[in-house]
Amino acid sequence: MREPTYFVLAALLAGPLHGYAIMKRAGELSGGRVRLATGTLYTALDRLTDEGQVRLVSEQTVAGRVRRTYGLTESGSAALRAEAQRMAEAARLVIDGASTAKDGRLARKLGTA
Amino acid sequence: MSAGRVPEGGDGDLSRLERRARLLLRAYPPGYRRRRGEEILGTLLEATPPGRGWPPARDLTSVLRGGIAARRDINRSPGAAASLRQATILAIALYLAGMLSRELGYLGFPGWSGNLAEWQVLLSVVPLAATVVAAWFGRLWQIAVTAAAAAAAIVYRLDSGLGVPGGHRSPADVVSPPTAALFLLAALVLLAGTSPRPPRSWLWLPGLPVGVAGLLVVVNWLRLAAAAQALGWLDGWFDGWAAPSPYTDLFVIMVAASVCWLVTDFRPLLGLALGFAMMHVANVSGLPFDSNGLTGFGLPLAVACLLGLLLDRPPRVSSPTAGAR
Repeated sequence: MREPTYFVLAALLAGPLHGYAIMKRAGELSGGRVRLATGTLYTALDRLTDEGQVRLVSEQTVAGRVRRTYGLTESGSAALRAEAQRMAEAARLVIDGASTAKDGRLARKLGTA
Repeated sequence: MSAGRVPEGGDGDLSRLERRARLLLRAYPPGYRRRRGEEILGTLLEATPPGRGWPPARDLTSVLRGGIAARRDINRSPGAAASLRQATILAIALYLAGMLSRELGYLGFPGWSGNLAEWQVLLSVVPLAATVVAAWFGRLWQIAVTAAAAAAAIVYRLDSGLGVPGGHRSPADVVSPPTAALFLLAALVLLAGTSPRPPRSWLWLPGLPVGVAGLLVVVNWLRLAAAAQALGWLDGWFDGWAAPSPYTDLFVIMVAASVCWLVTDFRPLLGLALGFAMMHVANVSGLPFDSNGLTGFGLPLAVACLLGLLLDRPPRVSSPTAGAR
């Protein structure tokens, strides 16, 4: 899963949002690192909707324009959690590996002292 | 979330921004714009910082990329077989348009004198032109009728030994080889009966050689000195790939236009490649795989095969309201 897709889904985790709110929420969640552009957002929404990971929740007219609100489907929620789990395991591999190596070095130092 | 942002500059700024954002949205295909345009527009306006006359560069480029992707998906949606048939219709239309432009070129060289033979030639190209137009706009019976009329005109020209203005070529050269033209007219009718209608946006492609030839004829009629030379370039167009520099300019323009189109829809380029191959096969003698045939026939065919393989890639159909309600 690509990072923008991940953050689009993550933005919808707390509840349905409309397009601009998804962009803002994705930016907040990523600490400003992921800045979704308008075209990227709607390309991602099209794909996620086709794949059944996102669904249209409501449609209203605001200031003469259609505003659609999107929400996560069960499939989308599961895909998001699976991706988060995969990344956590990948991160743990590195972090635990680093601490194991550090512990080993410390133990060797203590042993020789 | 606010209902809609009004820039600090007031309504004037908003309308200017909105006008430009709407212009930007034209990157998307019309059907997509109808379904989703207002929604994207609202997001674009909200995402634009106050006081700006244009959406931010990253939004601008992302909308352009999104529009290209949406167009590409729609163009792939008919499937490989239908797309190949449409490309072949285009190739035949280009071949017929090439014949048409040659005829127009002969009429304009060395100038229109208005004799009976010239009028006969002019009238004989009308069904040919009608066939090309009918391939896009007409119903099947209209394509069949115009193709039959064009075939009859070709047979009549050959049978009557009708002279060509300028006296440089025989009628057989003009429609060389006539059997190929008759075969292609029949193929056009068959394909038109089994294929979805080719997009109207392709119409300018077969119109291009005719339009260029028509323009050169007009210039020649005005007795400008460069016209005769220009018609020489036109001859080079259909005789092979090696051509003088002005022809090369025209070729570069066509390639550039085709490359732009290729990004969203490579069926026209496939049709162009097949069309060039047909023209080359019809205009060279001997086997196609000689040194001349390598570029004139082999290269377009290789491009056609490559694009045919690409057509097999499945489309990603976008449906913004899928799963709604």
